[in-house]
Amino acid sequence: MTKKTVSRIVIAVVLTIMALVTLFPLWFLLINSFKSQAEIVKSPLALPHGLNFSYIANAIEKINLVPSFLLTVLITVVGVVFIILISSSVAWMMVRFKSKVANALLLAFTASMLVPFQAIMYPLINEFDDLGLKNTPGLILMYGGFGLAMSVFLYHGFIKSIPVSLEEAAFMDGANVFQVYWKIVMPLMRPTTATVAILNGMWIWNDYLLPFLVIGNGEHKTLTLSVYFAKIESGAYGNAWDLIFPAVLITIIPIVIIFLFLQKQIIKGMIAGSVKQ
Amino acid sequence: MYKKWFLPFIAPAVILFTLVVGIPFVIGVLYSFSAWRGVYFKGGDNLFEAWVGFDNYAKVFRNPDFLNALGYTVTFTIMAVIAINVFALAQALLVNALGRAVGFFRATFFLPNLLGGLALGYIWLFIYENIFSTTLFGPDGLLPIDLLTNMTQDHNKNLLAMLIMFVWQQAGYMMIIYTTGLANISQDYYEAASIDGANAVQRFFHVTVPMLMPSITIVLFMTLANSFKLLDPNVALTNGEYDTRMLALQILRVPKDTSNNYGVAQAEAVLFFLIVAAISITQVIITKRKEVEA
Amino acid sequence: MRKITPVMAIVSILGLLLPLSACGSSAAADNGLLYVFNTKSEIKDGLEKLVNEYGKEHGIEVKVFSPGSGSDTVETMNTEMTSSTPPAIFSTNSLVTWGPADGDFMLDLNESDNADLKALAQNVPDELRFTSEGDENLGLPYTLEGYGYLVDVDVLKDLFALDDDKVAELIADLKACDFDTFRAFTDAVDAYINNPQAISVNVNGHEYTTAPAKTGLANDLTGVFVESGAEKWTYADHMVNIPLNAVFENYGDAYSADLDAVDALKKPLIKEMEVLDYNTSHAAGEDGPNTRGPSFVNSTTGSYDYALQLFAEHKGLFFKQGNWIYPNLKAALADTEDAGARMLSSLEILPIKMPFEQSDISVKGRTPETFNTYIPAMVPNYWIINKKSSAAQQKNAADFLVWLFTSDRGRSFLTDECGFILYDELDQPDGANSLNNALLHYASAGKTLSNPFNASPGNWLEFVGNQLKQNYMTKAKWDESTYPALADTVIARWKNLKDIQSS
Repeated sequence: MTKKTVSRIVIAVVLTIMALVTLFPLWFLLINSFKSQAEIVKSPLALPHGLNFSYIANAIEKINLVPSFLLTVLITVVGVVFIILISSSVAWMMVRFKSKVANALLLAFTASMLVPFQAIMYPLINEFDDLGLKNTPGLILMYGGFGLAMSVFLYHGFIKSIPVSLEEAAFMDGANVFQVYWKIVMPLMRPTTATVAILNGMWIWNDYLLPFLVIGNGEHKTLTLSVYFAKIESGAYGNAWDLIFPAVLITIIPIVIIFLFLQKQIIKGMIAGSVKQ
Repeated sequence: MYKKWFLPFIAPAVILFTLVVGIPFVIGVLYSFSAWRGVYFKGGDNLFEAWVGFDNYAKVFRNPDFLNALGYTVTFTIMAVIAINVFALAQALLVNALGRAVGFFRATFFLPNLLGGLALGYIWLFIYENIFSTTLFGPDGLLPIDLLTNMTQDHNKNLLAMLIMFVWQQAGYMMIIYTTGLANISQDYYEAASIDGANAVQRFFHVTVPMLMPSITIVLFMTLANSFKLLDPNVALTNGEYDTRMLALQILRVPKDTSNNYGVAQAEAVLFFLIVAAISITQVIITKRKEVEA
Repeated sequence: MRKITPVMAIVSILGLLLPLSACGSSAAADNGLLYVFNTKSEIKDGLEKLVNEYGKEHGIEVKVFSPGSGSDTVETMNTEMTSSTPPAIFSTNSLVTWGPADGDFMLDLNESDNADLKALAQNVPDELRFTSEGDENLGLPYTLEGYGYLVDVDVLKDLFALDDDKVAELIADLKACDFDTFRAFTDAVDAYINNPQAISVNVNGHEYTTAPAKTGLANDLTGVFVESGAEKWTYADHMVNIPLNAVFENYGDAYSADLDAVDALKKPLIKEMEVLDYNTSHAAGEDGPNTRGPSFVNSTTGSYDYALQLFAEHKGLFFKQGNWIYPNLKAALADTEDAGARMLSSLEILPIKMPFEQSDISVKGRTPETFNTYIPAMVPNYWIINKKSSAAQQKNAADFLVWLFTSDRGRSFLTDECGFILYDELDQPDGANSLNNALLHYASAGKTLSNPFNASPGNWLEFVGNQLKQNYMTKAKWDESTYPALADTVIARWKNLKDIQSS
């Protein structure tokens, strides 16, 4: 064996250990989703005795999985589509019609990225309550507003690199502005759209604070919020781990599945997002 | 053509932005000067009748909680920025050196980043309380290390608890940024350095680090911002007990602490904004300067 | 190609946004809804069932929510109360935040449109009325609660080899004795647990001697007191209420006191720490003493639930809790047949004795003897109608409360299922619930302290709890010299929070 092979084996071993440590909490979550409270507390590392789905079934019932899941999907999908449409259209115009207004807008969007959510959350909720929008549609609007700045920024950077000639040619052929936007500009921006969708989608799916402030303990909760309230309500008897483990498992499964299928795109999108920040 | 359609195309964004960010921001600053109680104003029917000037800000600085949270946040942020960078860079270098199964390791390290911090925080809480404190590092455990036991019951140890969880979540993402940065370094530089007789360590400090500077800057400020605004693990692990509130959680808990003095909460929020803005502006200035130099 | 003008585009985009908001607000104004927000977690499941039944019977849509104990009740309540669909009935016993001087959410039942409800409210005895100025009548009491050291009388009998009459005499002596006598008594019990032999102790003039060897339930004892170290309210809220009673006569007194009045808390608080130290260092555990340290505050083995189990298994003689534990204790004893029934039927409550001197007490008329012979009693929650909920909701709420307090089903829920003492049954101290009886005996003799702790500002109680949990419950040895500094810290915090609350 050459020195190089030895060092590569060492590296492979180190990386494998790191990978195992990284995956450990998820493995741990998985095995404990099939155990009773007593088993979890007594022997947390042991494998479950067989696949007992009753705890998962119980969690599904307790956190109203199906409606919560659908609501979370709805909020995430509608929110992301909303952000994509609004931010791409404004970014396109800001690049194509350079004006003082466009410059001011870019500055405002950029500056708003400095505002942490905590700085405006209380007045925001207050305002939306006054408007009768402290509800799911309001929540989607809020996500739209918060996702806007970064998404505009990403689109703006990308559109600058698209030559205007294609669009001009289409206008000459008699296309209207919506046709140009939808048939020419949007297809060209597909990579950026993927990035915008991924960054916003992940954030909206996992978010806890905004749904907490808007929905609170309302009838229909998002998945993360359901888990939070399941833990709070179980507080009377210590932590009901045989509910929390399966509940958390259910909330992360969709993301893990999506990640397994769309790995490349997601990682690419996240890199693109980071570079522009 | 574009001129005619400019307004309709920007209108939805402008309206939405004003509604969600603009108005609340202005209101928020105004409310921080009033006796706002969330659903009503104390001592008046509106903002101006309940105007208290800088009173709320004075109260913030008289309240040990805010200063405590500020100190805690700064300490955590410094630790997190260093730890995440070291881990992410090490992972990136190792994966790069291995040259195989890159996709697998990248995906594995990255996965935790996609999962919600609150839900996973509960799992970590259990691991800390019932694995770390007993089987692993407890007095009768595999490797008795007192520092790693009962971490979620101690002001200082909890920094480590949050750090481990946060590194676990963030390192993979930052690693990917570093991997991309490494891929952009031409092999020619390394060959040239080798010919000049540089060893591996020298090559790292004289080729890799300087060439990686753009990635380092990105990672540095992303982790800085993320750590400073950290909330979910803080809620899940201690929920602020043992004086472990970070700023985001502190602001969230003011109404509860003070029987709904949202005016004070808003004053803390404005201060929080000023600090975050200062950090971000520093970042922009530094990045711009680097670009000019390059 | 059809022409689309910019103006049309704006209109159509706004048109897209509008229905989004419209469909949300229409759901808010639901006439059939009765939403009950209950903050007493013990009755969570039963109340949910009851309200759902009521809803079905009366054809109205209902919703009940009760946060678990030890959770962020305040925060959840804030979110719910300020939402566009707030609860029609909510519960608290504090005027802070929602009372007339602050948010003004509480409907004065004297002004209710519902004549039956008005009559019910007017029957609430003066000392139990929920009022800030004295004229209003802001809610119907859930129950009367009192607390102290619950005594497992069965264990006491086996410890001292006493028959029913003699043990009654011992209880009477323990209720009347002073702090030092009580300390000598618990010392004797502690010595006996570690080394069983005949030990004599004089309580209030009578001599009692332990059995020469452990018999019966005395074998199960692992400590004198049962403690729940993870539950801050057991050593913050309820314990600190005793020294607060030395400073403030009642809730209203604490609510409206000057900032500096709380300075007088220092001396009683230091005395309370001595008691807390003694109790927690004589705590019962599963197989032996439960010693202070990180595991003492563990969220599983330090929980209320776990402590209740220990008490049910006779691991400790005294349990600092109140009459509210009766239903839970009954459930915990359900499968122990006779022994459980015997324990349940003979429970007693002793005052939490304090080594106070007259100079520690600033409330006029209270003496050290008061503290050693009285127990705190209070209404923990009131059923309150939210006057900021819709008119239809308020009407449903009034109807429901009348039904709750007048129908057989409602009353049997309150008394039998929840174990509540109803405000119109205070003169019946002979029910099946031994703890309620014990409390009513104190109440009818006028031997009750008040609940000034409920008037503490903001999260003061949580702060006190955190201080104790972090710096004391996790430490095996307490340093007495730190008590004055601790007292100063919590007093400063009280003032600081009052200051933040003011505007």
